[in-house]
Amino acid sequence: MIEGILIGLSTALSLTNILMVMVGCFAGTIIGMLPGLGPMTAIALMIPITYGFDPSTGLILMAGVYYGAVFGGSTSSILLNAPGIPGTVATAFDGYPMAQQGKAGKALAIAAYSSFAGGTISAIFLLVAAPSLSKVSLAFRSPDYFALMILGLTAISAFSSKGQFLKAMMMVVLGLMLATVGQDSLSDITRFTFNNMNLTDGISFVLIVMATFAMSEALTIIFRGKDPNRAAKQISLTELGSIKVNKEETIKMAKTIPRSSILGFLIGVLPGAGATIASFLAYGMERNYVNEEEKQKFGKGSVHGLSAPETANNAACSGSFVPLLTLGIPGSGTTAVMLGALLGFGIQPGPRLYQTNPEIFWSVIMSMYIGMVVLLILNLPLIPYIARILAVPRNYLIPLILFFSVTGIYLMSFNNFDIF
Amino acid sequence: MRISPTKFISLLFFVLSVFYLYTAYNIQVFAFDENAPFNARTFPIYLGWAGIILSSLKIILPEKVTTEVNHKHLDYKSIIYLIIISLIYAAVILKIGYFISTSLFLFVSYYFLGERRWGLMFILSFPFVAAFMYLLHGLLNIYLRDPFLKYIGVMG
Repeated sequence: MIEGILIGLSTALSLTNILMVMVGCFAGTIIGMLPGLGPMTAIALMIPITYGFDPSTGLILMAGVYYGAVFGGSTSSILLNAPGIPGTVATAFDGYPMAQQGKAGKALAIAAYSSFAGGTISAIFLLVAAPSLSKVSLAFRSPDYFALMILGLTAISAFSSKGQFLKAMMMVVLGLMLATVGQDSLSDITRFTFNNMNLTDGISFVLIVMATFAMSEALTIIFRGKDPNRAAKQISLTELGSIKVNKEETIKMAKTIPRSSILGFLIGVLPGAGATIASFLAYGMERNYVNEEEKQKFGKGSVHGLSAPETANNAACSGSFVPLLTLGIPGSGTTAVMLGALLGFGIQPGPRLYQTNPEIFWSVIMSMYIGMVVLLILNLPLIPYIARILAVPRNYLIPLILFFSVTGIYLMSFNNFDIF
Repeated sequence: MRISPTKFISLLFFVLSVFYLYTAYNIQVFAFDENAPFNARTFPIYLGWAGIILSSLKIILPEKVTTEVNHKHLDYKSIIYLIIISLIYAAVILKIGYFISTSLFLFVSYYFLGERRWGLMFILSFPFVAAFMYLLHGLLNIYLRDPFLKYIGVMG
């Protein structure tokens, strides 16, 4: 493990990779802050840029974007009560009331410190858990892989909310139907191509990712453009107030962070659970842990209520890398996009990644620590300026999302058919 | 009779599954593979049946939660315009090249989404795409096919 850590450190600490972590965290913060655009979209938009890098650098950039987007999502939650991503909905419960009390700067700082602590603690868990899981997974044979695939597919039912199981399973079948288009891997017989040469190689995973995440997100924002509830949230950004956190608030955070980190990491590891469930569970758990006086403050600007979901959602982000890196199962939509990007690099994440590409495995884990530090150093002083980006009008935002999506597809194949 | 969007989509999925299953049965397999327990046809046939069963259940079973959609707040006009612009963009990108088609796509999209600040629209289209192309092609060495720029000698 020590050898692996050193390999990871040497890769992650190269000048290019440090730069990529910084760029990723910054870009992710900006994209994640925009309501409706989450880490999934942010990473999908990064795919065309990562084509020029080696896989480690590409994955480090995307991981940076991931943490950045989760942190950015909390900014719009706190300032506008408009969560940038579902994982930061619970952040708004206490973050927004705090901002309304003129303590927006403080709320953003608490969110930043909690995110940092949650992400870092979770990365330590990842460091310990991932190699152990990988050792087990090295014993995998064909039947185990088959069982793993079934687990991956059935885990999708966990993505679905209550009463939506049939819908989720229909989409599993649709995904498998799309995967059968093209040459059969066993017999090379072409299936469902309808004599169209463009379909012989099948439908690319990246293409599906772009169409279902980035483009649908953009079109949904336009579609709901006239909603007055959304328009009402476009309030002017007033004074943010001080970003200093006092001793009493620090003690409260110190109590909340460890338990929320553990919970967030464990939830993140489960395929299909992710940052949203982690943040809600942490919020609920924290409410039960605190004394009666503190409990009354929940929903009115409680430090515990803000710190718990922020810690948990970042911890869940690191946790979601465990199934991706060790089993090749994306634990969330965001890691599914990253899986697509990895496949684009010609790398198969899964049980053998630890052996075949140790530099990727370890550099991603080590870059998490660097990413958390960068996120804190880069974003804390820039909070007042970054907040101004929330005012970007959709007239510019939507075409730019479509532009990045189409560019990604164009770069992949230079084929009109794929763009259609 | 009103049909909910979910049931309507399930109905479409049912039709798709029937078509998929019909096509699956017609996949030509090698003669020696015809009676094999698992050939190129097997998995698609299972998938087709799974699609039919799941969509039928979704259509037949009562819906517990129905979300009311307020059509008054949905911006159909902008989305239709944007889809048409995107389709034209996809059709011409290889013919007239990445730079011109993308810049025009951005400029026209800004216009149809209600933007009228011409200076800003221009900056965020032509110079923006040029800068992005420079980043990809010049700095990151990612090949961007553009026959037009190649023809006028800007790109190698």
